[in-house]
Amino acid sequence: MTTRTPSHAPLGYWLLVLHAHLPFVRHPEHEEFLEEDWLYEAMLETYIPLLEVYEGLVRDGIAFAATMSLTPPLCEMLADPLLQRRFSRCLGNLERLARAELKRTKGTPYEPCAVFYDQWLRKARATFERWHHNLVAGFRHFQDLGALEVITCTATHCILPFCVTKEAAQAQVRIGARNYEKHFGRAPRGIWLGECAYSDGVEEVLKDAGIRYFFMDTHGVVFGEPRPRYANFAPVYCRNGVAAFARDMESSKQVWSSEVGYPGDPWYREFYRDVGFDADEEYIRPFLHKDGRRRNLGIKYHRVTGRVPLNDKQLYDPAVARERAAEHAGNFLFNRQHQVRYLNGLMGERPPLIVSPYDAELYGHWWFEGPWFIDFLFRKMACDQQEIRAVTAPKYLFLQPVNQVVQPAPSTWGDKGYFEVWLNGGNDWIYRHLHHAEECMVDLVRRFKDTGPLIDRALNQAARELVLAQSSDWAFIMTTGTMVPYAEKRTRDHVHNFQGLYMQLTENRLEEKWLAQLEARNNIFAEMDYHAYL
Amino acid sequence: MKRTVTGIPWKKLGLRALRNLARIAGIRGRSRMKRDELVRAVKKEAAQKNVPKAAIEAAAKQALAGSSTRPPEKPRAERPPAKPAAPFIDRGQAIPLTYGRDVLRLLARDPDWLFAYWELTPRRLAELRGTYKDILETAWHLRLVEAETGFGAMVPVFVGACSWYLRARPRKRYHVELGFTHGQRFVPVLSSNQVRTPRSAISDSSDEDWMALKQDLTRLMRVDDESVLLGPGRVFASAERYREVTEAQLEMLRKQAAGVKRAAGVGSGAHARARRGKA
Repeated sequence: MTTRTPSHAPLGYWLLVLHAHLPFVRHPEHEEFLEEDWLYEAMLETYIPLLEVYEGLVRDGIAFAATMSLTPPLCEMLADPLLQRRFSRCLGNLERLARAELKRTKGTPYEPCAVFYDQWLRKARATFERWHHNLVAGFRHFQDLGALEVITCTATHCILPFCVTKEAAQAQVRIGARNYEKHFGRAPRGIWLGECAYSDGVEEVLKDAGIRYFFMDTHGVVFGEPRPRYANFAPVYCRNGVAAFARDMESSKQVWSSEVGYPGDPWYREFYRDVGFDADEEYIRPFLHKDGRRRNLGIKYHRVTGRVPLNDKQLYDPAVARERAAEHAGNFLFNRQHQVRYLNGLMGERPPLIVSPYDAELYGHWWFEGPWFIDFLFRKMACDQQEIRAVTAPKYLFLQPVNQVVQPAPSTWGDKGYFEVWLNGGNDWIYRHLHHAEECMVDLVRRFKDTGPLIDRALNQAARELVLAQSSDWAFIMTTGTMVPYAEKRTRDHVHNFQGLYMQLTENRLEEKWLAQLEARNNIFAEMDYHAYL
Repeated sequence: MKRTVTGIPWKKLGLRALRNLARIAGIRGRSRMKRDELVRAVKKEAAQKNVPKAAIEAAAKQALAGSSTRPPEKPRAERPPAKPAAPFIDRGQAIPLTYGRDVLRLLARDPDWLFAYWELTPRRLAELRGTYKDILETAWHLRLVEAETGFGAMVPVFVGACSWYLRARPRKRYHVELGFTHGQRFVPVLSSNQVRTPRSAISDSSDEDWMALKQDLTRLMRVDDESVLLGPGRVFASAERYREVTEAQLEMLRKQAAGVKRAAGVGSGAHARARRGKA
């Protein structure tokens, strides 16, 4: 077997960032919990298939470079034994369903698809077992091989510009970095800012935690001061030397767009036709939650087909869809080649860098064929051409250490490019509580630091409750309008818990039993150290 | 026309059933009435056909049925069948509406909008009332002050709203003051932090400044030797080979990087900056 390594300098570079994030949802108090399914779906459909892609590339000796941000809450959930057991149970349920489907569809046109799911689930089970139920170990493995660059995130994916105290912003980054060290055995080099939210001063907080680069939306760099010479096709340094990489619009649109993006191809799997809704009630009930409510189970027999009603969708054929994914990978690469050729002409001596960040869950969960697309893309990039090469951010900075100094512009990657998604009439009520809690936390740490083991525990738990309340997901859910009560519940619960701890600490009446309950329930960040707030 | 309702065992009807009939008839003060008063009032209303006959008969039937199995005094017999409980939606635990602190905070939402929220404690209001008698009748305003020009725009607000969105301009520093007008004068009560609205266009400044980070990069690129390769045997088998490949690639990158002409004198660390000369 020969390993394909490119031999001469390419015309340009491509930086893939997959942002993997889910809010911390763990409810040991309930046997089944609807929102916990977010994790299980993402594990089965995105994280496991991505690991399989990386395994395949390494096995076949294909040099690739990908960047993934695995946020601290996600790492904590993936490494949590309770959630691992529950995922295993959820996967077992699906395996039983797949076997039942083999019988049910025998002799019908659905049969080949049912066979596909049965095999697909077996493979997922094998991968899950191979990494000893801990997918973080899998990603760490590929990072240690040098192929994957895993970056961290603000501790709970909070919007840093909305922190009003510097201590709270610093703590978000420090806690995230520390958690990264726990899971990956080394300090993080880069960070994905929650929602790509940047405002003046964020780079100082990053540098404080030893972080060297971060990602932004296009206008974060393009609107920077002074005007960046290479627009968003080269990173820039903030004044303190932290590098900012900005998103490329064109490659984003090709994948993201629901109108012209690849995932809308008629041959790809239709997300909204699921056996959980299609099958007979009696038949499907044993595979649903105990409440018997129909929900997506993950076995889907139909393809996008076109702009037709859901009941006119045609049968899905995984083999054809896979071919389409290969074609789309070729098309994506072709477009990137054109792009770098064009940009290379404009930029002169400087090879352009195309940064393509995506939500990881887009690949696999929303776009079922996404992991195949990534697989084909890296293979084609390594074997079919030499004009463009995949890099990680540190590799690029190593190659191009001289960069322009630009003060980036405040921005996010949300709708309209600023903060409206997380600050509008539907969610603005949360900030007075979050800000007050921040100030109380800083006050608590100053007053009670190092005064005894029980108080230390209470301070650490107060920090956990605060960071959990600060997660940008709650504000986001309140804006999107699905599962709003849950987002409200989480915000209120964590603020309530925090306030309880604050009162008990300041009034010197700490209830150890209640504290222990909180520690058991909201057990994120076992390594939490409230000194992060100093 | 006056008409009595006959055949109803009024004395056997429970208090609850009577109250229910009284409710249907819309009799005022029914909850304070005693049993006899209720019977009289309901009878009167029933005679005027203000209570559907079916309701009275149903109550009577229930009372009679109840009497055969258990004493009619027990109100339990008349209790309507339990409705299925509405699904419980957990919206979380109670949190305070206010925190007893005077605060006015400003956040920049986008280039054109700011968001302000405030809390004004009753104590502060009482203090103010000592000096200015009419503060609750007077008009309250947010004074939006642009830092560069000192220009203040007055935005009338409802002080009880506790939050407000304010129109702004891109890339300006602002702070706000919450206060009221006393005579011709604006009396600020709370003052906010300062924020800067984001830029919404490409910068006019093309004054380029370049920086090299040389020293740090070696560290940035280092593959940790002590890191343990976790994972299954199959991948592990090719791991060594894979590392060789990536190391070779790194070496190549290093050579390439050496070829990049860098400005002289650069490399002493993150803060060294240099104008990029033509290579």
